[in-house]
Amino acid sequence: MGGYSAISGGFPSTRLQPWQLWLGSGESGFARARDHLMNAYRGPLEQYCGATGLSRSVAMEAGEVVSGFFASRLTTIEYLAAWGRSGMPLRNWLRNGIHLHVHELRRARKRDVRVESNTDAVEATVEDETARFERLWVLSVLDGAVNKVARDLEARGRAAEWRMFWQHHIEEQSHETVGRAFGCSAAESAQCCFRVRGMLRDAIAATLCADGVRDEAILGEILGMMEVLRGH
Amino acid sequence: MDTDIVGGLRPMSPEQASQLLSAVLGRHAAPIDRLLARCSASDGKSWSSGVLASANIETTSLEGCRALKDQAKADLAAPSEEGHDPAAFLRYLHAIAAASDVHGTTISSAAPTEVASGLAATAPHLAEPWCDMFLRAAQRIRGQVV
Repeated sequence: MGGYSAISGGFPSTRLQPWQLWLGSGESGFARARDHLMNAYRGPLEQYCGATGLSRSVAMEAGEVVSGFFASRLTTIEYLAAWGRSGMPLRNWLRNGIHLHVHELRRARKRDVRVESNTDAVEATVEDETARFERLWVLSVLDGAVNKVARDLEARGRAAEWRMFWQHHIEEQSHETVGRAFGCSAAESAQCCFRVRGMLRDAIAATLCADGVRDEAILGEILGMMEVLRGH
Repeated sequence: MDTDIVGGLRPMSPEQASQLLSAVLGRHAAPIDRLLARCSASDGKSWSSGVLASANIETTSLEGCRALKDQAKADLAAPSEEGHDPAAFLRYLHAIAAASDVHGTTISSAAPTEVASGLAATAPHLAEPWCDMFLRAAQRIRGQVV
């Protein structure tokens, strides 16, 4: 992938943080940032709200809670600017934020004793569900990267390269076997898989950057993703 | 879109996700993750059974276990671009498990919690008798942690 300097591990070192671009580009940039955030995080946040009982604690559907959270926080750039100053991964910032939003909803409904009594049950599940949120987020990042790369290759008439990569790295077929199946040498199969690996790495890194991960932390973040899955 | 293209068109399993990350990480992937990725393939159990059966380690002396562990460790020292050799790491764990289960001795200098975790994580992917051997070894080694 062009335009990046390689550091150890092959991860790009000069990627511009997309948020820096978006938040520095006025209203249109803020609109892009807001759209990205809502598209990328609505699903995991809704699942988190449902699984932890946050939404039940205020007698609402998870989708309603998340929509209300977005509406309350994303009318101006300030919420995202505060996140930028926090140094926290965006997914964690949003998860903390939705807890605060639900707390605000409870306060507004404090006349409903039944709602208040559910908070202990919510807190007890948060630790388990935080781990589950992390796994859901990792899987969504990988699904997104795989879909992007597979479709990009398909659009370029190179769908066979994706199949070669999958057969070697997921189905664990040797380069010799893959090469025979696709009419090329083992060395060509290895080169093809290397190229596709690089595309996947870039796609994952782009998502991590959009979550606020700095370039120098990307390798560590991917290692962390592996640890999250190991705990599954 | 070619619906025969595997991957990319439907949510992947956590096992496939681990394999994918292991591929992306290449030589940066931990040996245990590379091994678990290999075991997660459709032929994983038959592959691991082939590696373990060929070692015939259960009849080996304690010194023999040490030698097999050291050889496997040497094989792991220089990972390829695609990562550590999963067969070498499986042989490494096998030597440690056999020394613990057959001879009652821990032969690894790595942190006991780390060794026990590796054995316990690998065990479910293995056929018998190795699954039980790895689990017993993990429990024994874990029991040594104060």
